[in-house]
Amino acid sequence: MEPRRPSWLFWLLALVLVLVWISPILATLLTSLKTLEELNQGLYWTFPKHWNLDNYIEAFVNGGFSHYFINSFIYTIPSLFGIIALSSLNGFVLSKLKFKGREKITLLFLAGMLLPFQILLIPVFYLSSNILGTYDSYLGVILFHIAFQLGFASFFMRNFMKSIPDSIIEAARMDGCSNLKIFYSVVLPLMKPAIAALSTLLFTWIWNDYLWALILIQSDELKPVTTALENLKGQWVSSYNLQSAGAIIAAIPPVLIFAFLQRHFVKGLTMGSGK
Amino acid sequence: MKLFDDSKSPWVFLAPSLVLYGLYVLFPIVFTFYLSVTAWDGISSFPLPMCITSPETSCLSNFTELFEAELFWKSFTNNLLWLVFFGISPLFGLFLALFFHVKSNFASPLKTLLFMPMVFSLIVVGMIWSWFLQPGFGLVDTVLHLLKLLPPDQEFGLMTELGLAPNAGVILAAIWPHSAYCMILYLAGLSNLPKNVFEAALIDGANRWQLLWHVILPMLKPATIIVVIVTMIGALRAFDIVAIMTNGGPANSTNTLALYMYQETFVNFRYGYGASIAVVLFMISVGLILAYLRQIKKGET
Repeated sequence: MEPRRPSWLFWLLALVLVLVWISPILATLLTSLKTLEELNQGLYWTFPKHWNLDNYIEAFVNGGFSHYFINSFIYTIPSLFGIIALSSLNGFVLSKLKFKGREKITLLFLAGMLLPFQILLIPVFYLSSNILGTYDSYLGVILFHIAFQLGFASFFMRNFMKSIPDSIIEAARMDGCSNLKIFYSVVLPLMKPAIAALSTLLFTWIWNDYLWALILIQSDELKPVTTALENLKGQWVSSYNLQSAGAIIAAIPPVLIFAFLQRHFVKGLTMGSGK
Repeated sequence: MKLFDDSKSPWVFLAPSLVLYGLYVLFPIVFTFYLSVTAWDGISSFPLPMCITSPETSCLSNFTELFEAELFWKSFTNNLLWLVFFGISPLFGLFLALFFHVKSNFASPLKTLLFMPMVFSLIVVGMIWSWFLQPGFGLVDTVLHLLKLLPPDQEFGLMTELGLAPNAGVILAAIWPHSAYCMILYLAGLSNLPKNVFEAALIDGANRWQLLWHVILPMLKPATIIVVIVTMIGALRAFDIVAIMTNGGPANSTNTLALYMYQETFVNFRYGYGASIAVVLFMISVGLILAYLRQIKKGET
């Protein structure tokens, strides 16, 4: 559908709407820059008198956030690569290769993205601690994230692949390329927008995970930033300035990824949800 | 199409995914059903069904206990509240998407700002809204005082009230990021619509409301189906934000099935009982999704 041309009234309303919408974030940002004395005077929703980054330094150094921050990357990056690798391959297979059982496999992946994850909670815990021995390790959480997101990611990639004409693959086949070669030299380059969109979503979801780290991780030194944040909430009960700084630190990587890939994100999502 | 026939390579390509998926998704579903008839404590190596270990107990006694537990019905009612009120987010999302579907490069930074809540962890969202709703100095009280709706010497604590009020606070916090997600899905849906639909309808003399109701909404149906299903699942599995904001309190008034299941399993070490809650939650979700899809199908024929 053709978008309309905005008028000045639109910009006025839009600006007000956006400001109200993100006011919780602005308030958190302001709080994170204040001292505890200032907060105790009840000045919660004003600009800080002295701008300083002490809370961030405090959270990062004394709160151990630097460590939790790195942990979150250790969980997120390998999971992301694993899911992208497997789901783009699956997307190719499920949309461009003809074989018996294709529809059933597609349905299986689709069903996986619709189930409430509570049904997996206890067995995954059981599996990790009693059978695979991956309880309380980076690997255990990473493997689970890959498996859990495969359903959604494969379905997304399949939908995107459907918009790529079969003739391109046919031409490569005529040149004598094997399926694997077709995948990495023809299909993969065409999938870039979808990979960008999917990576943005997956990065956000895995980075922000709280429950699975809570279930599968016990040692403090392996905790990601989300569970650490919850602990720190208990530790600094009414130091809202420190908590705010922690909250902002935890949000920076997904915000950056999102801002960076935004253009690709909407485009890729549009094509992915096309069919 | 004959060229695309390749008998083995699809399965070779799918194999690693199917192994992982089977291990971490398919097997657990079956195993949770099995565990729901056991009294597993999380420690003993392999649990047997209750009716085998002690013949006088019924294998379904987890479920009979569950359906008699007050906290189960409390949590169930709260999940119903979630379904209804969390269900407002698609409307917000649709409104925002329609509003911001404009032709201008300057709109895209604004859209990025609107997406922001979705990018935040629910833990962060929960923390922020907890401060907002604090009695006395929270933003809600500050605004109420400013508008003279509340006397300066009084405090209004949504989260410390009894009854439904704390649920309202938690669900409100959850609607915020979820509306952003719905908006993204609707924006994608809007840009998929054919370009000339708008003009054609306007030439036919349709006004804006008719256009929205009779042309745009029906064409957005694929997006709506996804949005509604995502919202239903989101309402049923509400956990993170409740855990961080209230942990089910005060006096269990905000408990949800997901939180109840977590507490029984990992706090009270009643894994078998926890599994039976998960099974009930699973059945409700599957039932709701199937009922919705059937309704859609009915509407089409």
